[in-house]
Amino acid sequence: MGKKILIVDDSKTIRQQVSFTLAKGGFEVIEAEDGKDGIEKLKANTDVALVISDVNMPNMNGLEMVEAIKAAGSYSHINIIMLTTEGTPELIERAKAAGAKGWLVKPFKPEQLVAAATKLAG
Amino acid sequence: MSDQNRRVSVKVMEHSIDAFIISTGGSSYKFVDSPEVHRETVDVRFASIIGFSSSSFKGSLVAICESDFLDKTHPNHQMGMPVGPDEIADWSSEVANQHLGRVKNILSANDVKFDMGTPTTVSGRTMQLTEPKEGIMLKLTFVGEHGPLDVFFQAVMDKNLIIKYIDLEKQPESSAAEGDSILF
Repeated sequence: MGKKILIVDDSKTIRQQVSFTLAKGGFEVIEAEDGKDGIEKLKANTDVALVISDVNMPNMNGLEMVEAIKAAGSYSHINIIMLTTEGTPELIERAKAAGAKGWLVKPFKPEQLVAAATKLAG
Repeated sequence: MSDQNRRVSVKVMEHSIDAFIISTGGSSYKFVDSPEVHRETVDVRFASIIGFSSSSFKGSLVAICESDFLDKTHPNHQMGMPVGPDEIADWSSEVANQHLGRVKNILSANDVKFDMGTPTTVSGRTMQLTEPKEGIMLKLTFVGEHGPLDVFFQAVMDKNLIIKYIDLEKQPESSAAEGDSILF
């Protein structure tokens, strides 16, 4: 079984697309519907090697989730990639400052997603 | 909204929808018209609504289409996965989200900034849309092989905001374009 990746996105379509792509790339994938759910899934899955998250989501958005993960000692070491429709310098800088390690713009290219996951899943 | 701002808004949204159609593998959709409308009752199967706001520019975008359009453009087909009612409704939200995301990226590169909300999808027979107070509502119609796609753009702009010439391909430093991957 490959390394475990947590996908956080409020769109089921995007979660399915990302899961399909990463599973083909040899990864094990689990899913969460928003930032709050993402943190709960991280607590329940201590072997997650990488988080790939949307930015605009209800309940807790992706940037808030990154800040919460990085503030929590137990899983602050996990790398996080943002996957969103937006690509403005301001948002990218905010994500970088919060501790994210990468930024991908939807619709994503499968080979770029797998390459980024391979590099950052450790 | 000034004529200049209206021309630019239509140009950016037309470009964004073209990019969406191309990303889904389709090529037969064409832009028909973009009249200003004040109150519109539309036949609707799926409508997705997403808001945006900044201190000088706010409003919402409503994308309306038939389930056939959402089914035929759904990414699950490329993965050999089924497309059911849940997937159709979810994809409707994502169409509006990706459309506004593209619009935001283009306008942001040309110094018009705003924040996006999260989309909501409704389905039903008819829906009435009304232009915002002190604002404008444009109806952009696209036609193609999977039925019409109507995009309503409701916006209130600060009277001092003038969107000048828009470079659709402009990429500011440290921004990311569609499909880009940036590792820090």
